[in-house]
Amino acid sequence: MAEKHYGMVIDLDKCTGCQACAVACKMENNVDLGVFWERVYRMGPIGTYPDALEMFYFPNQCMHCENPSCISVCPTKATYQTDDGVVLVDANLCFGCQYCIWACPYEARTLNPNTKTVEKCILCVHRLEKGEQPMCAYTCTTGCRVAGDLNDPDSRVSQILKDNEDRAYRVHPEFGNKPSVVYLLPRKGAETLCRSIGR
Amino acid sequence: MQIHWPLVISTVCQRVGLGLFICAFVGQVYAGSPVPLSVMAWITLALLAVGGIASVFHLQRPQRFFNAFSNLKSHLTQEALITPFLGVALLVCALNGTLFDLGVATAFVGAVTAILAGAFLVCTGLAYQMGSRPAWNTPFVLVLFLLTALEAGAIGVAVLWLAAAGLVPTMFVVIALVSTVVCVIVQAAYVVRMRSVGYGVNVDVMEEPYRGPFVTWLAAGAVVPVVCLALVFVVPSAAVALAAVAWAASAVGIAAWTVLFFKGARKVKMFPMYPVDLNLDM
Ligand code: SF4
Ligand code: SF4
Repeated sequence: MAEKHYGMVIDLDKCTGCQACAVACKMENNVDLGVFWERVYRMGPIGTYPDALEMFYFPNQCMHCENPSCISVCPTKATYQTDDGVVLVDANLCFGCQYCIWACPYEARTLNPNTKTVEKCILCVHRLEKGEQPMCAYTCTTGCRVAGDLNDPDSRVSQILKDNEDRAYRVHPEFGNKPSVVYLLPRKGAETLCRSIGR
Repeated sequence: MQIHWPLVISTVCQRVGLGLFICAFVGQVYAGSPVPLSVMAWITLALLAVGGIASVFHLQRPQRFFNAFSNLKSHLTQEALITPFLGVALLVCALNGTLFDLGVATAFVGAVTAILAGAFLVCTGLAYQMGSRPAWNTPFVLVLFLLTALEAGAIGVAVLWLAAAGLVPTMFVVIALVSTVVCVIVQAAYVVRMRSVGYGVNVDVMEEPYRGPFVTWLAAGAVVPVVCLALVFVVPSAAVALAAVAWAASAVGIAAWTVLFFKGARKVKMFPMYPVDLNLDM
């Protein structure tokens, strides 16, 4: 069987923008004030009520790219990828050049002003290795997030992706990063986005 | 993107210093030089020292500087690897003629130093050429790093030759003038390109916060050097002063350009078609 490749699917149809994931992430990983490993953006509203109104929430964190641009630029090799596909930062090596922050197209990294090193989502590897969901997914009030092994066709994440192939979307595929976080597009409320990507 | 002042200072020093050495070496090979290469090497070393100190200030944990040599694929590692060789080569050129005499090997050592200087500039230019920043996602970035170095270097050589011998081959002033004009044209093309980079991050340099550095670059980096260099032919008696003003203006222009370069390097929007709010106030 192929090696594990951890990833996540996020159903934008379910996300209500409650921010519980962002708070849970901070608590689980003891993320400093002013530093965010997880953010929830509001897209819209645009258009007019009732028929042409568009708005949805977009939870954003490190996409744990298969081909991460943050790794190739990092001069210290502080940023690295585990055999399971999770992209991590070794805070003992990082010297805070911030080059990776510039190179990441997904706004996933933050310079921690206290530790003076760069931080980002770690996909809660410590929980995944125990067979638990990352804290954001565990806490999500609508169950819109599911993490797991993308290489295992029987995993829940693979099943969800298989059942929702028509809505699966990796943000900015043209950058070639191959994100391991896959979004399921909203069925309603994101018509402009869907049109622009030919869906 | 916010302006990283230490990087502005270090990249300006690199381009002015390394450009000067490369042009001085080429000038010496083809035209002989009233200014010894060792003088040029000292000036370059001084500028690189200022730039090096500035770039260390950019690092949040400078005490870990030696970690920079770890990733050969990173242009920053490549830059870090070239630095000691370049430093030693420049020092050898600087001491040549005083502490020792390299004799016939002088040209060879000069050539190696010039090649290392060029390689360093290429690595720096490539480091900034990245897909995640639409304004930087273009070969213009590297080309402009090299062209600005050529422009500042050619003007610098003209200034030092004029100051040392009172004259400079006409060809050299022409090269300085032409390289400045070419550089300005490519910079203008970069500005035009920034207007339509897409991803919701187009940059109009006539709007704030870009207007200030753009106007400064236009005045100091384009108008003043071109006018002063042209005037060298009209008022040869004031050639040294005119060339010196052109050199200083060119350095200020490169600094202003670099500020604009940073400001314009906006991060792509996830979905440019929607106004995006970060809901931290919810
Ligand atoms: S999202 Fe950014 S930080 Fe995360 S792996 Fe991809 S390039 Fe690196
Ligand atoms: S800030 Fe740290 S992790 Fe990022 S590129 Fe620099 S050394 Fe690597």
